[in-house]
Amino acid sequence: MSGSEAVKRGSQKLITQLSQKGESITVEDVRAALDVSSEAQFKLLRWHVRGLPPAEIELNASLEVSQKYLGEVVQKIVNAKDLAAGIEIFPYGIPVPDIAVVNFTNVPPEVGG
Amino acid sequence: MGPTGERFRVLQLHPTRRCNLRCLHCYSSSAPEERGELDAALLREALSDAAAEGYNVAGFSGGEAILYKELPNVLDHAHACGFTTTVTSNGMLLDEKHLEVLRGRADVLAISVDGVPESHNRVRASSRAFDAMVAHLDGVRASGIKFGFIFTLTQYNLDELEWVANFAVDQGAKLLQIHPLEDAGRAIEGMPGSRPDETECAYAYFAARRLQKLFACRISVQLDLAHRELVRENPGSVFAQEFDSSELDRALADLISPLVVETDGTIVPIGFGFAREYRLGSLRDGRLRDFVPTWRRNIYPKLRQLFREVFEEETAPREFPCFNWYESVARRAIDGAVATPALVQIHP
Repeated sequence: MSGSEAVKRGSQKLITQLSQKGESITVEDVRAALDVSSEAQFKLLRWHVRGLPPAEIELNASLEVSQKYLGEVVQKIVNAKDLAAGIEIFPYGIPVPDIAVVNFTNVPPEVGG
Repeated sequence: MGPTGERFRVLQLHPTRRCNLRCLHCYSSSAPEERGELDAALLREALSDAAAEGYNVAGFSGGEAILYKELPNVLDHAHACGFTTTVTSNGMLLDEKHLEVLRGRADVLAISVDGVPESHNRVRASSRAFDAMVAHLDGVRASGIKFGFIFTLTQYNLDELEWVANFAVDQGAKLLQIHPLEDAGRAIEGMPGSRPDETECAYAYFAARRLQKLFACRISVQLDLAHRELVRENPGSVFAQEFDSSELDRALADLISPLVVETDGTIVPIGFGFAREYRLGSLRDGRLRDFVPTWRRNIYPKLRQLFREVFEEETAPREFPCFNWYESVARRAIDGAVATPALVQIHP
């Protein structure tokens, strides 16, 4: 084990392994889950899995979405079964907001805070 | 019911702290130079008394339990008392001679494996530890003794768990137990900062469930962590149900499991090194059965209050879903504060 590997959390290394096997959550996973059109561009900034996927998956995610597709993405999240527990939208851009970060979770507030 | 479930009432015995290894994470600080051990006659009496109190699983650990010369006699007595027996070993000494001793006496053999060979050897402080253990696995399989592996989860080794699970399946093990490292014994100085935090425990929960799905019926994966929601729904699983004075009339095994006999004869609830304030007594001062009435009357209500406090604390909404109940209880027993990284002596 190298020095840098030694100080990494086991979970960080596990996620790297799972990503290499294709078991990580990807933008395409989220796109498919939300049924968002392929034209809507966004980045998956963070996610957190708790519980047993897929049925018990608990997701805290942040998406960076262009204003053009913000409406569609937000509407899909609101419509998505089990993903309506919490949603926050932070527009960015001066003077005209051109991008937004959308945080959403399927964890009920009393659990997810 | 308690954390060991309805069926299993566990008596853990540590007859010796002598060991062929000096593992960095050893909670009992066992080592080759340790010579203290419990007299076999005291152990046999303790087994008889524990059986009468409803205990039905006797787990032998150490130290390296197979270095205890009287182990065959004590295992025979445990069987005669009706116990299912388990023996924990680092596997390096499981040659034909020792396996012959265990055959028919140990119902389950638990062998430690702490990651890929390099990691295992580092934690075991021996460059031979892994190869020597593996060299005996053919013999273990041939002996017919059911066996499993125990993996110690640290802050840094969750990524090795799948390798360990594959290894266990390939070797024909039926159980993979994942136990989180605790800041206890030699681990305090030997592996500082390696106790898995709540994030690692949460990922371990996810990873263990994933492995259980992957390997389905081939191996049973046991993770020694409690899920807050499951505990909240079932307070009895951690002895936190409402206190009923009629409990005082029940057998000791209904009140507390695991019960632990340490190498110096001290009998404590829950785990090795548990706070002495809650101890039943010492086998060197008297028999287990003689300590029970006074303990049940004077100490047990206080212990139940402790369990209840830990339940309230740990089932409050938190960011992370899992916690180490044994550690939380041991910590609170020592200083009244629910666990954060702490210097505690607990669960084997």
